[in-house]
Amino acid sequence: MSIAVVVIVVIALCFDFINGFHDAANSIATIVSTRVLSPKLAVAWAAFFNFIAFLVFGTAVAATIAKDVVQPEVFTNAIIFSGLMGAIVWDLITWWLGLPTSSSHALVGGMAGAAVAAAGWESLIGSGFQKIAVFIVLSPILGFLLGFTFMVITYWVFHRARRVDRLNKGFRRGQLVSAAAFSLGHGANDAQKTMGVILALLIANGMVSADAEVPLWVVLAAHTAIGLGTMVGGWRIVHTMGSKITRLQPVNGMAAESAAAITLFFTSFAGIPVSTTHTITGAIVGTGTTQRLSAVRWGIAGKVVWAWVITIPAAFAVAWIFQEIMQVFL
Amino acid sequence: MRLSRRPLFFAAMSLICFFMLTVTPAELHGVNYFTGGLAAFWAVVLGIEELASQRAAKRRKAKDEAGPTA
Repeated sequence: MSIAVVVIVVIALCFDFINGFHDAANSIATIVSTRVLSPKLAVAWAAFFNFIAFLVFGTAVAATIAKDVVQPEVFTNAIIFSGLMGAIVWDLITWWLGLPTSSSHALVGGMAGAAVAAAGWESLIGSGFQKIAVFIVLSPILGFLLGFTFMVITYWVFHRARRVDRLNKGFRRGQLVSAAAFSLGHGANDAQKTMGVILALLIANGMVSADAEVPLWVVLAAHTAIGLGTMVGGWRIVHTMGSKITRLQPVNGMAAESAAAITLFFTSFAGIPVSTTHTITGAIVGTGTTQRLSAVRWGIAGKVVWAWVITIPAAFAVAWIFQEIMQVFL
Repeated sequence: MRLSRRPLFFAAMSLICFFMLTVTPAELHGVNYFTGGLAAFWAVVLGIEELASQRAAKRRKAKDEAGPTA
């Protein structure tokens, strides 16, 4: 394995670590704010399910990233490096600006931008891109509708219940399962994107054949990186959590996490890379809509829509610039 | 009688899902049908609920107005 390959694998795993770090709040925020688990246990709970996701799901999302976005024969070390840098730089810019963008979309945009800069527009695979673009819109809608439906069903089933304390105890236990399911979906969909990048790198360097499955060491490394990222990110969030997070009811958290988990399970099996952040945001908005439409902070939802529109083109442009610079020096 | 934003929001969401059939790969059309159908279902249910509650409120108001003279 050459030094360049090792360096790019490390950068890809760093991207995965940051992803876990960044998204830890999505899976543990509700169980900590409703005091279902202590912060320490909640972080460990989410990281554990992030890690074991590889036992449950296949590697269809990884195959989509490696083979369905850019023609696999176009990939070189420089393109993969530029694509990763495009995604990382755009993620950092938006983190600085406070925009809720998706690392997954940034990665797809980055890979595409670097490939187009090196080999032209014909290096992109239209059908793969189309599938990803359609689900940028459909996955939050699916999360929203399932979140709304689960909340209404829960209200229907339990509206006559008299023992509210007993009911809440049940929902708190249910939240443990829903948070675990969401962490499993998050680990599956997000870790596979990094696996896809590393698989493309291995194919480009002739270390595995073009139709090869993802090697086990790549699967384990990607899940370890996202699990560790969740552990570290979880701790950071726990420090600021006490005062900043709105006190949620266990029933809302359970419905939103279940809705998002089902969306992520489906997309992971179907091999569609989606944004876990946008999916859980859609589901939370869906549960909030059962009260009234104005209960939702539409300003935040608007920012998410803005992020949908801008992320792929922006990461594409940053990666394009990186690739042009690489071509000057290499 | 007029509908509030909520059923209209679900109706718009349903339309978006069905419009997206043209760009969704054929093997994933089921997702559009599921989301579009579910959104349409909630648009109809919420619309009916709202119209029924408006009608009930109107009937109550009419009854209250007629009450003192009856």
